[in-house]
Amino acid sequence: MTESGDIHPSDDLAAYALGALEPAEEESVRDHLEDCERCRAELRWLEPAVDVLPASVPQVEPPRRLKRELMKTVRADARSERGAWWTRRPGWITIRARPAVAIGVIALLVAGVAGFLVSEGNRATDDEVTLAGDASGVLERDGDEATLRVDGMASLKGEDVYQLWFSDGSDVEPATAFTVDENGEAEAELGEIPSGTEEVLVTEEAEPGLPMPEGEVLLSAPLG
Amino acid sequence: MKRDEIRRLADEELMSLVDRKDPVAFEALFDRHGGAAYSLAHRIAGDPAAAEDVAQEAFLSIWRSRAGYDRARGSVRAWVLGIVRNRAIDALRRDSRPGVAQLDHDDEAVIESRPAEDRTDVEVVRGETAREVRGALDDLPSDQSKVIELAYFGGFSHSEIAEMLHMPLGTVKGRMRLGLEKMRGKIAELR
Repeated sequence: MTESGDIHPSDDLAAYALGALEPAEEESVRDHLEDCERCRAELRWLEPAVDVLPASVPQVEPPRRLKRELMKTVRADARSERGAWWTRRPGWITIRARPAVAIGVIALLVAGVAGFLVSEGNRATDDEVTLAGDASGVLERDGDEATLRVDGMASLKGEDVYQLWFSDGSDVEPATAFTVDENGEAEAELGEIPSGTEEVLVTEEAEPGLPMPEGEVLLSAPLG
Repeated sequence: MKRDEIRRLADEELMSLVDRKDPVAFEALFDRHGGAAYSLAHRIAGDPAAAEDVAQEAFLSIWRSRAGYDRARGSVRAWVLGIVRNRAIDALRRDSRPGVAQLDHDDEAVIESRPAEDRTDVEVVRGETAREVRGALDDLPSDQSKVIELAYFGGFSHSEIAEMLHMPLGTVKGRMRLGLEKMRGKIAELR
């Protein structure tokens, strides 16, 4: 009995811990627990047995899509709280996607791999391969996956990285980050390209994997 | 704070950042508990698509409900999995057992139902393998493990279990209690 004269619902505590009481019973036990240290202690002792039950189930790898979709929503929420950053700045010019025949990936095209030019600055045209600042590159797409190869990129300062982003025109999500060798060359696997991606962008950032870009967009590759 | 530093934070510190809408902290939280959450949802919901929906709903509710976690009420992992379990049971009842009364699960109830003391044993067992915990459950007499699994993973109330198994309600309660007490003893041995 408690101070108020209630009977201790000892038999219900296990069902309570398992979430197996009917709503009215659950409320009654919860009310009782507020005033009864003995039952609270008993429940405290039992509950770890319930808490480990999830560990008994076979562990299943979640689909990659789950995290990707979650993070897309989360980043959009965070951006709307902080104000939109994603406005086009002067000087970002993208070029029309076309097969990268001119830079010798025709063999890949024959093999069924599509290539897209990457542009930098505002001098690029459909025919140019070497772009402003001597940087050039190609984004090789194979189905839903892609690899970026660049050369002529500027050396990075300190721990800076080049960060790749998937953009659907109004939203971005980070892809992989990369650094370049002494010749400014690098190859970066983008992995699976999210559906709806319109462009792949490159920025220089102080660290990899930021939730949203802080650096200028240096390169962009439209996906046709 | 740099990404690597955030990823090294304790769960409770991550939750403080999640409450302040830090996507990097949320991503770290998902990376730590997303697998267990999805696995639990998969076990309860029974198919990958439903498990994905449940896990997504649960994590978005965590992201969007400010200050939902109270560190005085237990571990972040148990809190996350409690939310997943409740949402999975609700989905199961909604989709598979439309005639069964809703048990009115909500995320806040996960907090309210938990006593405000630490849960050291759970943190110890967290490092143990699923096989060991599964073994502890399998070691129970089948009549005890059955009522526990029907309640926790099936979302059935004790009265529903009594009706299903054609046994008195008091017997169901007794088996739940005996089973949990034995499980509790096993956990203590793992310390």
